[in-house]
Amino acid sequence: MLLLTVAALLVWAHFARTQKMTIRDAEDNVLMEVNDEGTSGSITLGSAPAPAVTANKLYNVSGILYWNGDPLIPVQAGHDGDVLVTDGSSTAWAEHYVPAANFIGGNQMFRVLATPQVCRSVPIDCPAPGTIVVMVSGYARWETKKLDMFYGAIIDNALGYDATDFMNNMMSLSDYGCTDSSDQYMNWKTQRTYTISTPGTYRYDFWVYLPLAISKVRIDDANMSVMYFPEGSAIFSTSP
Amino acid sequence: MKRFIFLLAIFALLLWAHFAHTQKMTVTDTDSNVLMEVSDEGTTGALLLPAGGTPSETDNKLYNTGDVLYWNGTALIPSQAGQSDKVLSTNGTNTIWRTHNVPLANYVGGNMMLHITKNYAWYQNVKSVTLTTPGSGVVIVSASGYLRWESKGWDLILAGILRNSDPNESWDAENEWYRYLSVSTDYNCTDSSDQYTSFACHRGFNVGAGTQTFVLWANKYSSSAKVRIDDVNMSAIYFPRGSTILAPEASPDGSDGERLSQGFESHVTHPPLRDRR
Repeated sequence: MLLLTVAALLVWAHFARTQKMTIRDAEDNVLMEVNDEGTSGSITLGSAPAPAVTANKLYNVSGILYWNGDPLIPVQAGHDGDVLVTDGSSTAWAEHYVPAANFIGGNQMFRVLATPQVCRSVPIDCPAPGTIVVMVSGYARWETKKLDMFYGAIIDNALGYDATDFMNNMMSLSDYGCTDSSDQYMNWKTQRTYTISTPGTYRYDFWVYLPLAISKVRIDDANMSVMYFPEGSAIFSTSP
Repeated sequence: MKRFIFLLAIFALLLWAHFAHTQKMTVTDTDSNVLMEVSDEGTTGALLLPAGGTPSETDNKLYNTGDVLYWNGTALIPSQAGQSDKVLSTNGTNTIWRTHNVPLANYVGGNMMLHITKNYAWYQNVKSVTLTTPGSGVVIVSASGYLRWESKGWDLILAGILRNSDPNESWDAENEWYRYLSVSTDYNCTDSSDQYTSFACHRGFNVGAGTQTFVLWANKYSSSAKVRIDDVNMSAIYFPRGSTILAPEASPDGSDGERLSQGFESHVTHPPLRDRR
């Protein structure tokens, strides 16, 4: 009893000096420490390989705290903006992108010429692969007593004016040869869809021109919008 | 000395008996501050870490600051107070709560035959769709249908989409309607029976949080025109911006283009816009 009491006193003296409680194994490895942080405490769990049995255990592997076999918070470096998701058994950071849109429109009177011109143009930032839907609508003003018509097409700005792409994706509108050159109008709308495989800023242009020299056409108040739908890497979205 | 040690041993035994009775293990410092406690919760235990300041060294440490549990310098779950409906995200270093707004859509449409009765300077509500948006963003509104030309003369329709405003009540709304106009005519078709044209227009809006009502306003400009608009379908799609995590924030805002002038040239002699009020 005397020896036990002396040992207890020595342990107490150790605590009093170091202000911590240390639990070691038989080889003197530190298993856990309770530290005095002033008026409260903290627990140190040294980094080690995962235990052979992890059920209901709290442990540290390379600075990541695990509970019951799963990291409570996975490594965050390199995951800026990610959200914590589960696959039903473990947690992980996952990229999370949401659909977005941009637009421009209204307040426009645009003279269509024989030379292709950009009538409207809209950019959009896309943080991940996905699908982009571009729409343009407006109305045409027919200004001669003969056949008035125009062609229009949405083209990726990176292509510039591409005659083949234009002809493969164009819209055409005419006034059926209306002999009235004043206050004859027709509304129109066209759209095109793109798939993008890399993140970046994309811009889409609406090109127009007159296929007939006799035509005289004005486009008014064109509205152009771009809608971006992420896919693949995004959670909460479904790939087509 | 022996007596003192004996008394101390008795004291230690009493202390042990106390711990055994209360079924807990408490670690305190020399000032009796509780550093950690393992409590008996029946057939299992719980670990108590009292709240305190951030340790000067946080490596591999589990600690409680402001009732938030930290590991290795990072809050495992940041304080949830005032963070309702947010999602747990990371800035690459720390876990943080972030607003998470998702796209929304609403629509209305079909089964409609509406004669346009309003002429120049008056506006008819053709169709409306409402969305409640949780934050800033963009709404793309589309409307489509078809037009029935019903007179033997010049038939036409002027239409435009506005948000939360009535061009019959506001000059600003009326001017905006003219800036975002869509016009169709029947090219003076002399057949008043079964002549039709499809109709489609759309527009983008920057919005904040709140209830957004989008209305397709129309008139036929001339009292002699006769036009019906049928089966209009209208949809509004909301795309969050700004407060949403990883939504593109750098895209330029949608904005007006440049307008040169406005007005019809002939067919009808109409009074100046403002004189009709």
